[in-house]
Amino acid sequence: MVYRELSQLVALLLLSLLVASCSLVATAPYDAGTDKNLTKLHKQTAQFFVAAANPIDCDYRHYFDFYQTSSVALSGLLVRAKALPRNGVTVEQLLLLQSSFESLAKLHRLGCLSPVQVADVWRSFDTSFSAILRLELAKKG
Amino acid sequence: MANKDMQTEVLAIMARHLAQSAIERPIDPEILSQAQTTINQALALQQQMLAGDLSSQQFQAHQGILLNALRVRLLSQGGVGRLWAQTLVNELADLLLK
Repeated sequence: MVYRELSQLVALLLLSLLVASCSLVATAPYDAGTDKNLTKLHKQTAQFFVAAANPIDCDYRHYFDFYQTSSVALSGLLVRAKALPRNGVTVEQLLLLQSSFESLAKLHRLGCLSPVQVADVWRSFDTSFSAILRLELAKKG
Repeated sequence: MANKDMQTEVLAIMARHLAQSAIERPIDPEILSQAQTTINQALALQQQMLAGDLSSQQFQAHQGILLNALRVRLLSQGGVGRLWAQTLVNELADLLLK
């Protein structure tokens, strides 16, 4: 009788632990598509900054293709991220990155980017890309 | 607001949050360091704007990118520390846009 009660108690304890451990899994699983597309967008962005640092033509219109391509790429990344369950943090990060791309386009439309501006903004974009990739890769573990 | 007043206010905000975080929340030195770097960059931009080298629109767009990068970085952190850090960044953003 005592053993039966004890085993029921242990079973209840194990069930509680199982429920508690499940509640720790609060993010989406790793997504290879997000990883690949974000890495590709990062490469395009780095190419843009290299060109903007040593411009043949610094005018916004000369870089119109880059702004259009990155906007389409981000839209694709966001649609994919939103489709995954429990992926709110990545979605929020991508929305902030989208806002940064819009601010970069706005800044560029207002005038040519100075070398200091290019260096500052490039560093900020690298920080954003690294943070989003860091989170995505952490989902693997 | 003069640049010196701004710096004083930024330091006051940082000190207050640092004191709060020491009492009730975990401190991430990497975040504090990045927040400080971002604020220094934003203050340098503000100085350029006051000197007339940068328009207010350019200032807003540029500092928006800086603060967004910090916010993205903070989102990779977990738990209460992240929420605290986001509050800190939002307060600093409000101050810079005054």
